[in-house]
Amino acid sequence: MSEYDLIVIGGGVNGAGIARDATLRGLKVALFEQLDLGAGTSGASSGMIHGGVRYLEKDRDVTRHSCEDSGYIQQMAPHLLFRIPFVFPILEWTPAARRMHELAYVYFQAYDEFQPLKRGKPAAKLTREEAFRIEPGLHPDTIGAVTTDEWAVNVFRLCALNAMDAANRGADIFLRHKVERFLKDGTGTVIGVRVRDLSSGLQRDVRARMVFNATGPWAGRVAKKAGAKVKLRPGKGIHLVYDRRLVNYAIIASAVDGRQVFIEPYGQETWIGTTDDDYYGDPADVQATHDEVAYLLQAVATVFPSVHKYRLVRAFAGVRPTLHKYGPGESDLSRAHRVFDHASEGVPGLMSMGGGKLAAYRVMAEDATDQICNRLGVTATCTTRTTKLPGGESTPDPAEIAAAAGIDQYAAARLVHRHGAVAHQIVERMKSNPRERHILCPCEPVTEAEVRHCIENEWVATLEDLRRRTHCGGGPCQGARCARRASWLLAQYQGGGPDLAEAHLMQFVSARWREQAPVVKYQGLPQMELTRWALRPGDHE
Amino acid sequence: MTAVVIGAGLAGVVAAARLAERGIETTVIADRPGATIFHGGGWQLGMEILTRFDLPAPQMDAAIEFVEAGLPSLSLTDGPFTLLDVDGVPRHVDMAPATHAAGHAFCDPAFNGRVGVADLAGLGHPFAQMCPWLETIAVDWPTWPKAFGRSFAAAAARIEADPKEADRLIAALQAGCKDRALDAILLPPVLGLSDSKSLQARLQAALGMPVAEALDTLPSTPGLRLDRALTAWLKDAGVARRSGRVTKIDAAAGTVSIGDELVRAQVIVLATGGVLPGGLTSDQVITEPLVGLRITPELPVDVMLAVRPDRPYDADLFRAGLAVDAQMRPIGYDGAPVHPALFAAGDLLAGPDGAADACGSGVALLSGFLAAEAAADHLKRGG
Repeated sequence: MSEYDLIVIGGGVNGAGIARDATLRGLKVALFEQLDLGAGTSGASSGMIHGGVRYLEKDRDVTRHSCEDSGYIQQMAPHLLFRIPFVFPILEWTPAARRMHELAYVYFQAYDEFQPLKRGKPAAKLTREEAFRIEPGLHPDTIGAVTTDEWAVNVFRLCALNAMDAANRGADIFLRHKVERFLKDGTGTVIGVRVRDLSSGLQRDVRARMVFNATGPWAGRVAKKAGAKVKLRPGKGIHLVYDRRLVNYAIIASAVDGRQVFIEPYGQETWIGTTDDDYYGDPADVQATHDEVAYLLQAVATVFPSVHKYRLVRAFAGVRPTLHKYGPGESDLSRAHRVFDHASEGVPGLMSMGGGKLAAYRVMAEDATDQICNRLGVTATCTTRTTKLPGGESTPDPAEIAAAAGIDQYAAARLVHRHGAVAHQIVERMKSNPRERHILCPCEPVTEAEVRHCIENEWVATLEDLRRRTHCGGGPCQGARCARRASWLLAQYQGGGPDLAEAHLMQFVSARWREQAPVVKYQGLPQMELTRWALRPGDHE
Repeated sequence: MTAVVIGAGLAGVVAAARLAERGIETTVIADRPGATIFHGGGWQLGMEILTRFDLPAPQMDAAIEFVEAGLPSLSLTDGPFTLLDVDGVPRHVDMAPATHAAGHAFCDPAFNGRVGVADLAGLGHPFAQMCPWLETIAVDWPTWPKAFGRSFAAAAARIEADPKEADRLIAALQAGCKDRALDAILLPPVLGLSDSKSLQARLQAALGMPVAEALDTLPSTPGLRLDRALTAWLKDAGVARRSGRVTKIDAAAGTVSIGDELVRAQVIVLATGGVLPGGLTSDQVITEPLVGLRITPELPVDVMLAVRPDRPYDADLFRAGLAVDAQMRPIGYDGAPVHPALFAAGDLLAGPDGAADACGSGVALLSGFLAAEAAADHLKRGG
């Protein structure tokens, strides 16, 4: 007898999205994630919920569906999305620059047809003067520009909200649980998994009518444990993060190999992305290299020369679970997704997913859940287009939140961005205990109330989990001001003392170091000196 | 005989005061406080480390006595001590200002008595919450408008600016301790910026028990106090202080440029600090920007960053700096001193790592002292 209808392996946006979709269709679901929600590929993405403008020439339907889905995601969790206007500068030395300027405008005008689907603004053709007015840092050789409009999302919270909604509707979410092997019956059908709780070290067997492998770049390794195959061509991508907003618009640049890269405003930071290189190492070990950092900086400097003057805080890396194809260059690989039903290779009861992109996560989850339901004989249809994620019911006015909670308006705006309507609950905490108004992380900023709320309600077990949920410790000072205090709060919740707090802190410092080390030479060393001083271990007896 | 010291942090001021004491007309040039203003109040000397990195320890005692005498407002007291910082973290230190050192007696978990921790909730800092093994005393202070800042350093500055604030703090503490039968009190570092010791004495008299301040993190009240004490020391020692950014050093010509202006000196002591205040800068490699002095080890930043994953912040990068000879003169690429009259001191020296080796204060005061001795000897020998 199975405890569950469906076991989902992987707590990225796909795994969490499938768990939610399946739960909404009445399935009893368990999700196992070896680390934390969004800790792998999802959290290492650019955060773009774009409308597929680059498919416009080849397949207008892809563009239409992408834009429609961007609109659905906005409806689900409007607080989590933010507009990113794009500017494509035309440089004097571009071949046939004047004509390119006109062509680019025509191209984006064609995209305008789909913009209303996602509340996007129409393209504009800018003269040189207009381009510099909106983006003064453009290269002096810019002769004009074209703008278009896209959206970005807080990916960590998108993953967490999908998992939370699934949990609220009856799914069981298990983080820090690693699937060690698959259970099969006499006929070779997968009937469950053996998981190890990485916190306690204990193993147990969990059975389900269907197991879905949504482990992204790990999918091949996981499927192999069941004797099944998922053929991927994993592609490593990195992003660079600056300590502040350098740009108002995302700016597109061409890299030395002709690939397009971008610099984008993201929250109060600026991100540069991304690279795309074949990667066959362990996805857990992925780290940005100095060459990759130099490649991106060189590319962006061609459109935004002052990029070298500013301080890089960190570089994060992830691995795309791109579908395998032999031959083409990494960037030319399709971003399509595919659901593998391993019944066709003699492993029934197990399905996997490969490929895809963040912007299509909801559609991918719908497709995967359709196929799961088909196998399980469930006829319920997908409702994720219109069902709100937790907090998505309404978006409170930050000014009212600030007044009610007695906190700064900017802190309130960031709180609303992360929590939507749930911000009201956090305000209630601050009203009943004014001390929780304390700004624990001044960089983001994050109040103590929000930290406590997340520890109590969002499966936060480490400081890195807390950073993913709230950005506490992820900003310009990388935890110099907040990590010690947050470690102490976390340890208290877990019933531990200074030793546990110290262990949390050191784990956080190591994780931050992995992202800081590749960029520390770009003006980052003074802050790192200060941070390591503030976070040096205590002299506990 | 004239000397110029560049940098007004701990190393620079010790060097300048010592040169002046040796009868040399000394000028300090600095455009801002050094990393000294981040000093948490706990002085870590790291003598064992200093000898391992060829900074001779025998002069340490003389250097420490010199500094203790030069900074009377701090009333530096010899440890070793175990003190708590404002995040409730214990720190082993070798020396501390008296207001902090007093905490050694009762920060020890074995202390047989009831210790209260002052909870200045209005400052928004969870200090008391981070020391839950101590008894929280609710203190109704501060009372000034939020616009004046709500950090411990801001509170110390308010007490400095308005003596009535100290009276209010004492009254609030008295009210909080009433009928509590406490034996000692731990305060965050708020007792002013220049004469915290007499304020501590007033508090102890009013409350009838020992009172100590916790060490600080960032921003730092003890660091601001140290900066003030160093400034006062320069004045008392008769050292001229010039404000400005040094743009060029020509040791051979005996000149230091501040923009277009030239300052002449027979000896020059470079005490511009490490990476944090800009004494060293980093790009592909670490450089010393003023003279272009040789950096040891001579490795790209990337290579020096290669670290053991279990100790991420212990990298060669943080040990890079100037190599000096026994007379504290930077060594050039030929292995010989760059110039007989150019000396260096403080955090820009190669070898010890203040954070990892718990020796930041020790390096500064010892190397500052030694550089001054060597520079003075050089001058007395006739340059």
